[in-house]
Amino acid sequence: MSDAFVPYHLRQNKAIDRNLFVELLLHINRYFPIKRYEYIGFGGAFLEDFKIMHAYTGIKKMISLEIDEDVLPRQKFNRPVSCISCTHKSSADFITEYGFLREIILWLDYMAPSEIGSQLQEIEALTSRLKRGDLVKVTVNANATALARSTELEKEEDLNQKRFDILEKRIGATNFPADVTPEMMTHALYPQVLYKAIKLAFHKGMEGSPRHYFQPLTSYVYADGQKMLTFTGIILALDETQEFFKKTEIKKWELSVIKDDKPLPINVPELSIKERMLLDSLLPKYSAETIQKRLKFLVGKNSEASLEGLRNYVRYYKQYPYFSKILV
Amino acid sequence: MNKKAIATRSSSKKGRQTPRSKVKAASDELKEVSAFPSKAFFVEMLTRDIELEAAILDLLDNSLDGVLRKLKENTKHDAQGNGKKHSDADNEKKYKGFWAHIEFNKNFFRISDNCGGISRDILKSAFRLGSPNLEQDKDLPTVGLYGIGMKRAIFKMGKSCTVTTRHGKEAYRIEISPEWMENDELWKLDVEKLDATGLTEGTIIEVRHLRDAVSRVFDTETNVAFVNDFQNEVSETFSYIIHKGLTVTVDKTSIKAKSLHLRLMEDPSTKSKIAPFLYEGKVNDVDVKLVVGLYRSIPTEQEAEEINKGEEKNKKENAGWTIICNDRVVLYNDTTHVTGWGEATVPRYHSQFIAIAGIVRFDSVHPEKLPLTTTKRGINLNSETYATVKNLMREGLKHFTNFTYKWKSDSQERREIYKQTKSVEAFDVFNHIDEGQWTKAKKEGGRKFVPKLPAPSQDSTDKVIRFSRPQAEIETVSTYLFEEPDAAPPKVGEECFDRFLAKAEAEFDE
Repeated sequence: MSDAFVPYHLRQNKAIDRNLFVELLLHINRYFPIKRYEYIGFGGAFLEDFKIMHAYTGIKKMISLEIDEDVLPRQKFNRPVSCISCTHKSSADFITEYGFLREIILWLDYMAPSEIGSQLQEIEALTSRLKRGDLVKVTVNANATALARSTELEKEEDLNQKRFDILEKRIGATNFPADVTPEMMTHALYPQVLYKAIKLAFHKGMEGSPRHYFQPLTSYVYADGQKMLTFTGIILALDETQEFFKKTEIKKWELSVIKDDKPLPINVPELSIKERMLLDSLLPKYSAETIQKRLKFLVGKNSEASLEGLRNYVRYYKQYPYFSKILV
Repeated sequence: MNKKAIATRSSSKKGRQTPRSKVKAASDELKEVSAFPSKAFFVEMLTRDIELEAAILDLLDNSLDGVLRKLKENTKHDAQGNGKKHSDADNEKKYKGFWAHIEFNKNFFRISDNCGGISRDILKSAFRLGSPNLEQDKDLPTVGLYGIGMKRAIFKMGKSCTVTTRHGKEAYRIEISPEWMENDELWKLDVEKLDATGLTEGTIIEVRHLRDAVSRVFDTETNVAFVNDFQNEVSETFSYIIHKGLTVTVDKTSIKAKSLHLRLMEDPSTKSKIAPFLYEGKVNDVDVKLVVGLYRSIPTEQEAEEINKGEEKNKKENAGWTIICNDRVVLYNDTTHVTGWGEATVPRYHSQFIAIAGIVRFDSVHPEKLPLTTTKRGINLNSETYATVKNLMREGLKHFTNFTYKWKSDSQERREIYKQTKSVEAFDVFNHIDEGQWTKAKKEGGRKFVPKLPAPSQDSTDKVIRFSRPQAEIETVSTYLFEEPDAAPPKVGEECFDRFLAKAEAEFDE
């Protein structure tokens, strides 16, 4: 849980992911008025997400779940606005006990990779309690090395097979996506495995609601250290998909998950303010390739990585926050 | 579309009323009454008690029966030719080269295979509700009994269907329309003869006009839960057949067989050793092969506790009994009284028995003698054959529950013994047992192998250390020892102990 203490300015990719979430909500706002929603999340010590959520969407009813008794007083102290209720409760208990009367936005920001099995069960249980318009965002650890490292192998053991077996054990055979193979258990592809497992959990949760379904909207992989996967979606009635996409224009939004049905990487290079001002002045007119030519240096360890980083910057520059030091 | 459906329904209602009103009007001179069946009755009754998944599996069963007929034809040819006999090795991979593809979405369902197609003779009655010649597959180890599977599956899913089949050099197409499905006067179907060239020797069944509920679960755009569950079910039910070479794809994903492995002592010369309990013999015309043993290490107490905390369906891994009838898995990893758990001195299943798994194979060319329920996906507990075999299952099970009790506490010795075992394919174990080690099964007939399982040596003085500490403190120690905060608590505790033990021993030695 140490992550709860790391502030956002040290995690720029996570900051981009969060800004994308706000942008998604603004899209959805054209169809469901977000202001009327209730926001539930794990605020951590600083409640940063809550502050932004309130500022951009005007949501007034907010609940922060905090399992650590020692963090709770600090969280209460840091409460940035008065409409957040800080609750000492686990997400599992909350899901069982809460009434879910209003439309909700719930962000399950999970940490422990070893608990992926119970996290998926929680997602399924939560989804089975939700109704049309409800929005869920999930964050999970997507490090394949958290399953097994090559240094831990015994003789004749295959790394990917071992990871596959451990994951299957953790998730359980019935919740394991049937089209996942051991070959997919690599560092690069593991986020896609989790994407499938989370999607399956959402859909399983909907099995008791024949007129509604879970519509995936966005999914990103980023690493500010640990590799993380986020997955956001909404519950819609089966016959309103077209209308929803028409009004929200999410299908046309190049940062949604609709087209590819797999997570997009967020991997923006570290840039100085001077560099960013130059890049921003060239966007959105020029491509990453042209910008690379204009720069007289690389922003990655080789020309390929540099170009990839610039492509990523071109994709996310609007969500990339400016952080700077201030003295109070 | 709704309007159209209603219109068809109301017109068919009228159609159904006609015979009745005729009878009423002519009641004065009642000479005959109609006794032909109503299609609606068949559709409702046949489909009510079968799950969608099971109905589709019936279609796969039909594909496999096609393979058996084709193999039989080939054997006949061979017999006429060079008299070559099929060996056991052939039998082990007898479905190799055959495939079946299942695809569906909200608009249609399709199964296609290369399993030999439907011959002209069988086709003649294949669309009747209930087969008039149940003897047609005499001497073949099929599971088809009533000639109802295909129709039931079609009715369960939709209102129209096309069946295209090529057998040998002949190919046909038969179409069932929504009108036919609802009209009680129509009892024949037109057969269209096709040019067979270019067609695969096999069958394609395509169902359209899906029922609303079926269309919803088939819609993989909005629901991956059904397709995933179904893929799992195919993987269980057909694992033995996939193992024997059949390729099955569902929604373009190739289905993998579930593993059927047990542990066996690597060195066969040891007197007492970990090996499965085996039985083989013939019970009431049914060939029976039974194997039960350990497939993994016995869980530590800590592990058993953790397994118990988890969700019910994840508590078993691969523990329990799997029952195979004519190659089909009809019961998978069962841990209930159906397979002898909690009966006649065998304890009820508990997570400490998670290492125990068993498989029984029933094979017969008389499918009616197999201990199957009518839906073919369960055990008929009234079967005498099964009752006899269940005694053996309990006998075998008892050896391993006792073994688990004896080795309950985790020890160096227990780990060592397990390390000396290797994983062997369940039915391959039979080949690892020498002739002299078998004993006669007096009561049941046939023979069995009873392993002499090792017992812990008396002087094992291992003791359990248990204690609990706050999570934050465990994380601190874990970070110190392993450079990561989330090592398993028992691992952290053991590492602390081992390091101090090494240190203590080194100091005492000085």
